[in-house]
Amino acid sequence: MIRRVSGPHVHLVGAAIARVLLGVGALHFYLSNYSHRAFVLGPHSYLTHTRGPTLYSLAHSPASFEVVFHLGIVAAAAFTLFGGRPLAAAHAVMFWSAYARNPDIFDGGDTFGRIAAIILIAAITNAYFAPGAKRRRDHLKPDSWSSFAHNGAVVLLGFQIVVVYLSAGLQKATGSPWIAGSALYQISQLRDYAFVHWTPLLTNRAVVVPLTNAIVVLEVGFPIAIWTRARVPWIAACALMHAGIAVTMGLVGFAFNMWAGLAICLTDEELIRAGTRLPSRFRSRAVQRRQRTRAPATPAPLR
Amino acid sequence: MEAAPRAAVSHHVIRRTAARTNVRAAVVWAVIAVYAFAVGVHVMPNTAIRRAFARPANAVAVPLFAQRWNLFAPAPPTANLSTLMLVRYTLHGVVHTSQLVDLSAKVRRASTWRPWAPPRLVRVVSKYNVAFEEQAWADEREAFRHNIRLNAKLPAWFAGEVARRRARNLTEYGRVLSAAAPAGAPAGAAIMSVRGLVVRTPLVPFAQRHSKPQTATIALADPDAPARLVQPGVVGGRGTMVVFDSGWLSYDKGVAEMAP
Repeated sequence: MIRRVSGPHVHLVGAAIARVLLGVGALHFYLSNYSHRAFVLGPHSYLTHTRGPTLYSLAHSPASFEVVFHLGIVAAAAFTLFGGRPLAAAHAVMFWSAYARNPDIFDGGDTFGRIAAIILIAAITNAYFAPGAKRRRDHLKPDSWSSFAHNGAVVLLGFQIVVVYLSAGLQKATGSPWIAGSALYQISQLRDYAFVHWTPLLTNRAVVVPLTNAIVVLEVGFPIAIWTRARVPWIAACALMHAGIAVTMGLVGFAFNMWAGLAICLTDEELIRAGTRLPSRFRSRAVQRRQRTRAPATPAPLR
Repeated sequence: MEAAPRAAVSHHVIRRTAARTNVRAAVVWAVIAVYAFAVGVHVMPNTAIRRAFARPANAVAVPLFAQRWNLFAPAPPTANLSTLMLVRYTLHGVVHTSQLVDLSAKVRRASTWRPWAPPRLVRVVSKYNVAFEEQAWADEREAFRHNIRLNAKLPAWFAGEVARRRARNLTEYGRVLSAAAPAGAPAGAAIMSVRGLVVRTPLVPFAQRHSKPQTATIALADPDAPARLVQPGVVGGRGTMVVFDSGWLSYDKGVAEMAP
């Protein structure tokens, strides 16, 4: 048990990817509500109360509201690009403030993003994909408070994503439309989520039943699968499911946030191995350097 | 001669380092355990365990980590809910009432128009649609319990109770309608009041998936008809009904415009 949080930093690549995806998810949230920001978050919003302490309650005038809202965008962008604990804290405070001002506009993905942003304050999110990442990796000290906090945050985020899938999966498993396999057909008719008109495709029992049941199996099986050899394909299947939800139901921000949660479940070795399979223009410099320094496979001399 | 004390010192350092490691690990695991307990109980279904530990668990989980993961579970909605809006305004000294404006359709169009970054206005309107539908059914059950006929004049105490339960939602709903009202009135008109009707249109069940879905025909004969809890027959179409009527609410000029 102690070994899981002590020793060297784990899941540094996953934490960095999670940071980028959560940051993009938060930026997506801010920018998709940009044209209606005064109506949903401003001092003259339709809401007459707040959920908790929020920086938006300090903004009594439209001008001060604009400052707070744009600070949120700047914090999310800086967190995405640079990472690190102070920026994680700044982003978490700004994102929490938006939530406390108006929880109505937060979907499940934003809720996960809000919780993950708080947890990532303890993690090292800038050891990869950030300026100065190499130098930072060279100075990491195992068994320091920093490493304990980082490894603990990784465990917490892993636990949180397990809670999401297990809770959603078990509740689905008790619902008759999910068991009967017709839930997706029902959802496809909901006008609030009708981004792709795919109801005719789902009238086919051979399509809708396996798809619906696969979602329940993926979610319920997730906590077990991530401890087995099936972890990588299972996570890939979950990522694909979120891509499908983003396209068909318009829940793009939800996908970014859930992909972030999935990335933290993969080890550095798994992510670097996946990175080496990418076309060279998409590969990070760290992965390319690692490939270059690998010894060339020369044939053994003949004797 | 010098080897023995050095060994003793290094042994002491190793023990101290190990103790420090164990303390740090214990602190981190304690935090993880508290979080796991609080969130685990917080998201748990309503069981005896949840009831027993809900208070300490929620004290930790709710302030910062409140969450609910019933994503279309246990069953997805069985109907589409829409808000239809009426706007009353004066133009050149004459009072007019607008045609029914399908506010839900407008905010849905605004979303599908930007599929990669849809604004969350749909969630705002749907929140009140869902809340009013739930309240309508709850009020109806309550009325049956007290032997009150919904299609007759409601007793004052019951009407007061219903109004009290809906007060906050109704205030905010009025602000949402006010924010969207300029879209329902011509330029230069002075808006006086707004009114929202929540219409429920059932989905086609899977067993009837090959049948053609009916389009609801909306016909509101009298814009001043009194607000009722449930008004069957106001809207045509199979199973379609008005589940909530806000009545005329005063227009709130101070709320930021929605402009779907």
